Amino acid sequence: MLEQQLLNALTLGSVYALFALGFTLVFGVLAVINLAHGAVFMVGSYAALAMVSHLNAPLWVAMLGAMLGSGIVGLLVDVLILKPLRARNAPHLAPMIATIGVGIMLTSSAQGLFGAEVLRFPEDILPAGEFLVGDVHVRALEIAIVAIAFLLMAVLFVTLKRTQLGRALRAIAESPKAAYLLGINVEGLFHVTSFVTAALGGIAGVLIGLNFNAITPQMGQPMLHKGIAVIILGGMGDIRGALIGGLFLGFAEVISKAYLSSQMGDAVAFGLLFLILLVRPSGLFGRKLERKA
Amino acid sequence: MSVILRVHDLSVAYGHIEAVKGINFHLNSGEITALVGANGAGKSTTLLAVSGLLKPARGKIEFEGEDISHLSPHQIVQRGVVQVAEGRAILTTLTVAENLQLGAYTRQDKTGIASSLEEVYHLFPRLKDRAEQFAGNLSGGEQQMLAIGRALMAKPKLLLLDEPSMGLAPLMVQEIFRTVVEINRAGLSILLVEQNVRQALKIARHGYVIETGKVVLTDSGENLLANPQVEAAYLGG
Repeated sequence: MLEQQLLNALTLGSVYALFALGFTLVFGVLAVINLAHGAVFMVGSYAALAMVSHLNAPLWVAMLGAMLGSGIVGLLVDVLILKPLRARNAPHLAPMIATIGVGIMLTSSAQGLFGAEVLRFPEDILPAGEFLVGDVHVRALEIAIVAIAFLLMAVLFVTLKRTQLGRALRAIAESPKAAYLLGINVEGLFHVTSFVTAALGGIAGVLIGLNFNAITPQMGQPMLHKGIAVIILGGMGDIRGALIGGLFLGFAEVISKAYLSSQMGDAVAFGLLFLILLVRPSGLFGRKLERKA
Repeated sequence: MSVILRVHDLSVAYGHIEAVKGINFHLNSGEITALVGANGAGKSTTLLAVSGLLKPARGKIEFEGEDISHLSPHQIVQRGVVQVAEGRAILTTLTVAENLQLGAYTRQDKTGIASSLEEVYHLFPRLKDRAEQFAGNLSGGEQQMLAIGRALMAKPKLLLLDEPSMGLAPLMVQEIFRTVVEINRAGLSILLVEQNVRQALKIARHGYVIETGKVVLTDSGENLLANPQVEAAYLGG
């Protein structure tokens, strides 16, 4: 059943990649390791669940709502927490520590609002189709997850590569000073980046919540660890690296669970990551280049 | 001749250390004005304050009669004040063409941007040949051309040039200064900061000599070149 496992791995890996992409983009543009990104992921899945169960919203509306909701959380974190720290020239550990606090606040708020137990999407809201391709059972849900993840990543890639906005973000990533002198509203694009990356984290949360149909306040924590591993593996700040790294982790995790040990899947996956880092310490696409002033 | 930039009693501090201590100067529209002096005199600090990257502790910066000292850097670029920073600030991970496109970040007029690009490629044909290369692969002189070309893409009214000759071979220095004169003849006002005092004063209508954060001497470029004090201190006797 290798094909079946490969499909599972692709599904999981594409969501890891989507999650890590936002994570790495925040690091590239804002130079902040945003440790609240896992909690924002969790916020996305609760937002979608709330819209589906309390507002009877169709799933696609709930997805858009989740992106908007988590995007707003990301924007507020930037405006209320990261911006004042930037204005005071805080050393780079300060925003990282602050985002740990944000993550804890969001996680306990979710627990207070929704309880600690596992919540599920109502079965009738999930895309129900299932069909056989060769020997492989393909769920419509999995197709939808992979399609949404890759579509969003494609939009992000094209935006970064081909548009003036994308060039401006790459300019900030290389040198904020140069970006200022080009007339780029750097603060404004920090806000945009915070919103967009949180929205991507939030939709990743919805997709994982749907895939396993299980939502808990703690679900962001393992995701955060995986996200950190993926962006270090890919090379900090590199979006191709986040894509490849996310897919890699999905495959390593699923294949080792299926063929080695269902308990040790994460241990094997993270062990492999470590081995790769021994060979390439700055990651697959990591540059030696230091950021300029 | 109208004044395009007037800096009045400007002080800029890094923490408690005052790098610029109440300097006054102005620039007439359409002219090249040079701020010259030794390393650490406060010239670059002054330019960073004009561009809004450093906030003045005291004083005023007037551009076309408007006090711009409290505007943010992107608003100052929108007013038409564009700086080519010391060390060029080229985006090495972007291509030459992408650097130039970003130069026009504050503009929306597609046809105007296209014709500016034509002008830049006419001024620096080498940039056109290398349009698709990463800017990090250019030589120092080519990077300086790209930095100037990119600033011109913003269609500035006032160009601030910080040490355009720094780190370049003598022939390349000649070429860069020739270009500066050429773009000035086309009507652009230029504020030039240089340690290469001789070259700067040769092309500047007016010059200000800056020492330890203060203007110590001002005259026409020609007179400063002939001034024995300047000669002794900066032109090697």
